[in-house]
Amino acid sequence: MSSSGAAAAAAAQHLPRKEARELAGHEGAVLAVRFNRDGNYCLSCGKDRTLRLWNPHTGALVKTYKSHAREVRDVHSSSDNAKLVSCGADRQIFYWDVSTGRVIRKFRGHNSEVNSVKFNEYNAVVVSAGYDRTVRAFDCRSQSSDPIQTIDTFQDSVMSVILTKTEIIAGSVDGTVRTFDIRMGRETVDNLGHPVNCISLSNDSNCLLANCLDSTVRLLDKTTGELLQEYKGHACKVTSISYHPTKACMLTSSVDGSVRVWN
Amino acid sequence: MGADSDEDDFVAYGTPIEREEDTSARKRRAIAEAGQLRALPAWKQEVRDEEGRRRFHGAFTGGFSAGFYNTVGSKEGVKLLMKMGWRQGRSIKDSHADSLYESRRNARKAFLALSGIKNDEDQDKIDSDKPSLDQSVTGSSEEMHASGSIPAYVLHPKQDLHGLGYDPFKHAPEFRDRKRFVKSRDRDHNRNDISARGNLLISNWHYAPGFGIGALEELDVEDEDIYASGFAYELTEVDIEPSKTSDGNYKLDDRKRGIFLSFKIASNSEYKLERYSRNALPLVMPGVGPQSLDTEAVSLGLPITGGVRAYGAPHKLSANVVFCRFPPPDVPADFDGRHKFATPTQPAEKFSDLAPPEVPPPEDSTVRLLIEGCAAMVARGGKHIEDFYKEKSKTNPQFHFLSGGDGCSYYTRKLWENQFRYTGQPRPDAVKSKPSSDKLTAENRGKILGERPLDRSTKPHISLSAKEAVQLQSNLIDTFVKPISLDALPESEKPFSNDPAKQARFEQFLKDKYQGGLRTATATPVSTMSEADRARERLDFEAAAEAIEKGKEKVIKPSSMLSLPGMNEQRFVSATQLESSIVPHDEKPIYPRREPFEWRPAPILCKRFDIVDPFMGKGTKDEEESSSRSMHHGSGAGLMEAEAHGMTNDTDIEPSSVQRPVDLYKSGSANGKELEERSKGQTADSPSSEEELILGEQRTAVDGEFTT
Repeated sequence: MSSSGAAAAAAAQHLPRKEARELAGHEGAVLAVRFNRDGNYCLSCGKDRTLRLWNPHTGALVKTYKSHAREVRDVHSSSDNAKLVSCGADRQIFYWDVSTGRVIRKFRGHNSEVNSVKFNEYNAVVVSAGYDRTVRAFDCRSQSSDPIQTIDTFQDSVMSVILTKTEIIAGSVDGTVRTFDIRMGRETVDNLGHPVNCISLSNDSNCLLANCLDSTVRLLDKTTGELLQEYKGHACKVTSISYHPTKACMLTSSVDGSVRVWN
Repeated sequence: MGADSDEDDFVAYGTPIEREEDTSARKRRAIAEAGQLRALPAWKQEVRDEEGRRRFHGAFTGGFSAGFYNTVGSKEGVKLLMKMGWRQGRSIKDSHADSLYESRRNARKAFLALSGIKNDEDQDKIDSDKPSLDQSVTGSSEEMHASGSIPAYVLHPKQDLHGLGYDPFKHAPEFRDRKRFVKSRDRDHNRNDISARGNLLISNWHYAPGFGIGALEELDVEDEDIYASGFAYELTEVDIEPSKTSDGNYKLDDRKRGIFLSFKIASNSEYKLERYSRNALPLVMPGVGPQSLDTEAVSLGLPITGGVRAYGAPHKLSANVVFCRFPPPDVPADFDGRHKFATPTQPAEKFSDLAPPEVPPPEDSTVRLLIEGCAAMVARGGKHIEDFYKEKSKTNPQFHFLSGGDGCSYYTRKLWENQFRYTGQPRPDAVKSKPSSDKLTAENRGKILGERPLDRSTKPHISLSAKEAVQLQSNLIDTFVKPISLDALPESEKPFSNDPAKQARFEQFLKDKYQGGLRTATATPVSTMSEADRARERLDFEAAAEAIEKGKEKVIKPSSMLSLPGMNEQRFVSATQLESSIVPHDEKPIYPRREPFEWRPAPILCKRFDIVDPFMGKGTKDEEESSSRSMHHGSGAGLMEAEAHGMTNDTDIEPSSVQRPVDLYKSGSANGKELEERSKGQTADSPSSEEELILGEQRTAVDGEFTT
């Protein structure tokens, strides 16, 4: 769906080869760009501590959200487009109201920078992954700003987290991709041996894509943990990876400045 | 947004309200605080200019005015300056007090010049004198001195590098005198007394040398050393060579006699000194008066050497301290300051101990020649030649004498003879002695001790952990895949083929029992079986295992071994990409690896995900009570269903369900009743009433705890 780059402007790519539009506005690096659930809007997180909501189809900047004290690392919008959750290097996770642009709640609990944050299916839980080797889950429905669960079995910084209906999957720099099955009460550790930067789920939810810092993207079977495929194409580190929601293709971005589409 | 939106209906007048986002934080604060400025005391007010910016950053502590009533630089100020004269920056307001201060300063200086006392130490004294001086000075209060006073001369020019007024020895009086002494010793010794005499003790107390005080504390009554002998003693270091010392008061009557006695006549008790000698030992001689020290010491026959001088000025007690100092030891003329390491063997002793017996030479003359030549070489060259020969002789049968073959004893004898001939030059010994330390490696040591090296394990490294908490049979079936090329466990050996879950557990049991390899530290798998069932199953497993073993006896071992990893294969097909054979591959990819663990999701997390908590009702890991489990299983399930229907305010209830096992133990009857109620209640009630029940229960549970 989206990829991140360290350019000074967010470039939305509708088609794999043509740059359709350039969304300029951020002062400094853009750390992450995410589409919302229906794909009509995209959100960009910048090193300038702001979040910007764009309409990529028209190229207009809809709103700017300023509240973070340090760079914003990730953002996720709820399925009803009413709420946003963003995390940053200031150890805070902000829960925004989209229309008013105000922070409804600040989730605290991480001891260090927060790398990734996600809503769950019902927008009731916010799960975040941080540099402090933990994955924390926060409850949106209650009034508390403390985590309801902390997972600290990781050995190193957790770089990304994704949620399914019944699982929390997180990839960490210690080389493991851990799946926490809530229904089974089980933690499955898949040790890949290389630091995992970013993970993504295939659209049939059977496969897990893990992007490792040795410039390879590994396709794992979620149920067995078997390595199905390795993709080596980028010359340098792959920074982000994403799967198409409907088609069977995958998008990766890298430090070498290129975005690749894989089938 | 704005005035133009509805032109028909209304017209806007006036300035629009500023939007909050546009004003900077600074301006907003300025506006908000504008009213508060007058209300604050002067020292709290912040100086701001028109734009609201703070002025005077940093440690600004006042002093707005400069000059006489703030007239610096102004015309009036200059006029005043001409009139009053420049007075070292003091304002006219202070003139009255100032003149007093001035005259006091001068008086103090004069006093110091006369008495030769250092400035700061005499503060106490001077301060006591102040009142007397004051009267003399009041008369001159009206006068204004024309110029700033310059001290006539500074008695002790500042030679150190710390700031004015800083006294490094404030809390360490012992070191002050020592430092002074060290300094003065380098200077003229004649001036010793003058400067020394001027030193006053801060107080008459004594502080124990070994104790100090904290940085934030002052020397106080409590820090006084109550066990000090209560008098001041003086020690000075005098060199061994008496010619260097030139102190006039120093009596050296007995220098000629080689006894360095030094007892100074006790000086005026007003000036007490404290000095320490470096290597001195206190030696208290009670009841000895100052004058009679010499004779006393001599009569005691004390070997007081090294020119220690001690005298006592009796202050509290009449004891005196004599410090002894001892000269360095006599060094023999041929002393060489290098450590001689003991040689591994002492030839002299060894020869007497280990003279090998006389042995007739072996039959073969060539061997004899070899032995003799070898012995000569080794005796001359050393141990390493012997090793070299040993290496060479591994294949050559003639050299067996080196390692205990034929003629070994003859070789030993020859070697000894040769070495004996070369007595006086230490040589490493022959076979019998232990090898020199620098060649003693671990292997050699092991050989000496007679150890057998361990076999290096060549079995494939099975890094899988096969223990898995399998709760649902469906999972198992998913992961079961037919093995590729391996013989599966023959049908006869599948005792529990009708129950795949049990079969899986059985295989797991076998693996655990018979195979080595890494196991991950997993928590006890939560299973749906009770303890008794598990135990029974285990017995079954053991019986089955034995049966299999018996059946396998006919079969060749390798195949049975094969079957065991085969069982592994059945469960984890390619998780480790293990080949089917046991033969180890050196380059086996071990990634990616999969390891399952138990993880307990928080109940509220499960609720938010709309998932049934897998550990519901099981309490914490420590408490597993089968009765409570079964009870809560039923009630808990009801709870979950009820709340899954979309109630939102029940975050508190969930924890109570987990805590209930604890409550059970605490209050017996009260909760028991409630549980019954619950089980009754959950059958037919609507969600809301169940909730009420639970809430009520929670309340009463709390009460119950209080009452019991």
